[in-house]
Formats: sequence, structure tokens, C-alpha cells
Amino acid sequence: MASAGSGDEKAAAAAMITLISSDNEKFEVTEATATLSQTIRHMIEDGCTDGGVPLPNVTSKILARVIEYCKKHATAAAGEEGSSSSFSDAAFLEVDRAFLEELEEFDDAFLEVDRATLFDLILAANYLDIKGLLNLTCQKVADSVKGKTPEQIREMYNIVNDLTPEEEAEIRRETQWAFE
Amino acid sequence: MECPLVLARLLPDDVLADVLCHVTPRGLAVSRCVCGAWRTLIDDRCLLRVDLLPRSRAGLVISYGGLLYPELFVRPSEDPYDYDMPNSVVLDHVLQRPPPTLRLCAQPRYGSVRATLPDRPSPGVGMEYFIDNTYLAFDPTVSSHYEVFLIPSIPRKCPLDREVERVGSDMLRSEWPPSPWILSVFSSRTGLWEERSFIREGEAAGTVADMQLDWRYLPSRHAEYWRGALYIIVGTYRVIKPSRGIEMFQGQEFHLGRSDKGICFALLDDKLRMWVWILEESCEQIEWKLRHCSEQELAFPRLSSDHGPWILSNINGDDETEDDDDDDQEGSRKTRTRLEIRRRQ
Repeated sequence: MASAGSGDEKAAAAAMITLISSDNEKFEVTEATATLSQTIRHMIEDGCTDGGVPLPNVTSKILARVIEYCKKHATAAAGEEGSSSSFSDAAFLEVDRAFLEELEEFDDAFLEVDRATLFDLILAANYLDIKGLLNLTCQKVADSVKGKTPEQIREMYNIVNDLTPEEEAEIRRETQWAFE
Repeated sequence: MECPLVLARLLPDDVLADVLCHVTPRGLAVSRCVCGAWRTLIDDRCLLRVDLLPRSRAGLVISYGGLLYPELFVRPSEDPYDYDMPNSVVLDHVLQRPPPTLRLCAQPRYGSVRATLPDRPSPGVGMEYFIDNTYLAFDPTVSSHYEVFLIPSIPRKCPLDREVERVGSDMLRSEWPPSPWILSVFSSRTGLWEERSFIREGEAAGTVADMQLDWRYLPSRHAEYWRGALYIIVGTYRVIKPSRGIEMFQGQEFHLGRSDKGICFALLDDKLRMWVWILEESCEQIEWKLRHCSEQELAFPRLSSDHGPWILSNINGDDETEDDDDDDQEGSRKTRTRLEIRRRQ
């Protein structure tokens, strides 16, 4: 798991970046994969990636998952760019749709994690500034709130209710329609 | 076993706000009730657009046959012009040509919200003489984005109207609505018109020629948006025909509406009795169930007996005040008529 390099010819030809997790594990990834993270992109632009990029906020367990996500999405992006000129419109649309479906399936499977991991992924996506991953993981948490009552949400996330009964009644009154 | 998590402590405010940004307005309203920190976060960052959301049932919408738009009656508060929004935020919209302007009568307090849409796409071949009706799909409790559907309706058969003759004979013999049905849809999310294809489930309502003769399919607004689906009398990709038995109400105008029970179909017969059918959907079956028939003349004023008087928000008023309602609150105030609906004894 530590080496993220692959036998893929394209990948081998591309510049490689070394990412170092908080527990000092090294991950070698292509620049295309790494630059899905705006944070790392800026570091590359500033020329401060020699000797590896230390990521003190991200554990190896989470970094491995983040890299898995970035690799998949970087490949999809490269595939889309590469294919646009070589297919007729209809064929291109077909390929495009297949790509998107595959990506969606990947994302769904990727999100099959426990809540603690999901939160760690959100924090890592936020720190590394990976928009797609942040949206994906935030949406997953947001979906967990859908259709729940305040009591259920508190229970699910172990939140202590510090509102007085009067305050709670007032909030309910303000948006009565949401509680009907 | 999963460790107990404290979301508020695990995620810093900025990240928690990112998460809450993905929650629907309805979910956000509920989330404000979870704890003080969540309420503060949602309120401080204005995540819930309360200005667009219904606060209480303060309005009454009445459709009149002779008027283009339904009229809005609102309950007066201490300041008669500072009232809560009606539950149905969007009352109506209009797509004018040119330029196409979407009018959302969403905020009586601040005047109506206007959005200008890009030029609408030109109609497809053979569809030039069909009348495009515009339908707004908007539920601010689900999303602050809306969609506008252009749905063609068949020009009415009228011996004096030569327009009808221009509809080709092939077209007259074809099924209505067609399948696939390519409709133009504007999305406020993308800011663009796009073509969307709808496949009809079940049988067609008839041929174009049949429909021309049927009084029930007059090109007028018979649509409701409910739980993410746009219901249109002869217009959805699943054809929902008017309820059986309404043939006896020849010439009576019907209305499509919604209540907490779902989509309803209502008409007032010539004896002023009100009939209401509710659309029941279960196990792929979809049918109208008669829910109400008033046995005697409808006690119309009873609708508001406990809550009157109501203020008429003059939607069908003269154009002058409509045009300047953005800035000239005084002008539009003058056009509002106070209307007293008395209790029926």
C-alpha cells in the first residue's frame, strides 16, 4: 500500500511526487494525481516538494484512501480529455456516460466507510483542498441528516442539547413547516 | 462498536458549515433545533435562506377563470404590508416575449423577485403553432434552485381560427402527448435551457385531432409541483387523465392544486357544489379518488371565517404598478385592495 506507483506507462513517464503521512509513511504518486489537491498544487508551483511533501494532519490510513480517490478521478479527467477528438459525437457521449457511471459507482463504494473514517476524510479533503472529495463526503454526512428529527440527529452524532425548552419551541415555531 | 462521535467537536466550524451547506433547507430548519452551536452556525452564516421560505400559512390563493393569474390574499399583521409569506411561496410566473422574464411573486415584503431568462429555444419542426405554456418547478424547502418547463399544448379547434389548419395532417393523426417528448427546460442552476426527453408510461391521451375537440384540454395552467414531480393535466410523461365522471360537468372549469394529501383536482359545478378528487399513487397505479362533494351550495366564505380580514395582493393589477414594484413600494401599496370576507351565519 505504501507505494502508489504503477506499471502504467503514462504514469511512469510523468513526474512523481512523494507524500509523507503523519505517521511517516511515504506514498509516491503522479503529479496529475497529487494536483487534484489545490494545497499540493500550490506547493508544486512554489517548488517546495523536493524531498517529499509532509502532511502532518493526515494519517497513512486516510492518506491511502485519499490517494485512491485522486488516482481514480485524475484518470477519469485524463480519459475525458484524451478521448474528445478521437470519437464521433455520439460515441464520445457514450464513452462519457460510461465514464461518469463508473465514477459514480466508484464514489458510492468509496463512501462505504464508518463515520469516524468519513469525518477523517472530510478533514483531509478540507486540509488538502480537494473540492470533489470534500463535496462528496460532506454530501454523505448531509444525507444522513435528511428526514431525521432533531432528537435522532443528536442521538446519531452524540450531540448534547443545550437549548432550553423555550428556545426549542421558538425555533420550531419559526419554521413550523419543517416539522410537519 | 463504533465510538461515539461528537460532530461539533470533531469538525471545526468551517468544515461543519461545509457539511451543512449540503443539507436541504428543510433539513437545515430541523438542524437549527439540534443544539445552540448548530443554530448559531446556521444563522450566522445565513445558510438557511429564511427570506425565501414559508414561515406560516398566511395566505390564500384563489384562481378565477377570467383572470390570468391566481389572486393572493394575505392575512394582515400589525403593519398591513409587512406580512409573512404564504405557504406556497411561488404563486405564479410569467414568461413574456420578448424579453422572457420570470416573475416569482415570492416576497411580497420586498416586491416580487424577477429573474430574466435567456432567449427560449425555437420550437421543433411541426410544433410552430403549438402554444408553449410555461411551468415553474420550485420548492424552496428542497432547493433554492428552480426549473422552468416549456410544455406545448394543442391549439384549440375553432372554425374561425385558421391557425389550426396549419397544424399538418400527419401531426393531427399522431398520438398526444408524444413519446419520447422532448421538452425545453430551463435550470437556474446552469442558467441555460436544455432539452430533456420524457418517455411516456402507459397509453396516450388520444390523437392531436381528438385533443383539439376536447374542452378539458384548454391551454391554461393546470399544473402543480409536489414532492419533486411536476403534475400537469395531460402533460406529464405519465398521462393522468381527468377523473372519470367529470364529463357530466360539461363546460365547468377545473383546477389542479395540492394539499397535504397530495395533488387534487377540483371543480365547482353549476349548482356551486365543490368536487374534490385526490390523486392516489400506489403500486404503479395512479388514479383519482373522489374525496369530497359538498351536498349543497358551497359556503364559500367559510374558507376564511376565523382568520379574516384578508388583504388582496394585486397580482392582476394594472401593469404600471407591476413594472415599478421593485422600487416603488408606495405605488404598489396603493393598488392593494382591502377585502373583508365575512363569516357566514
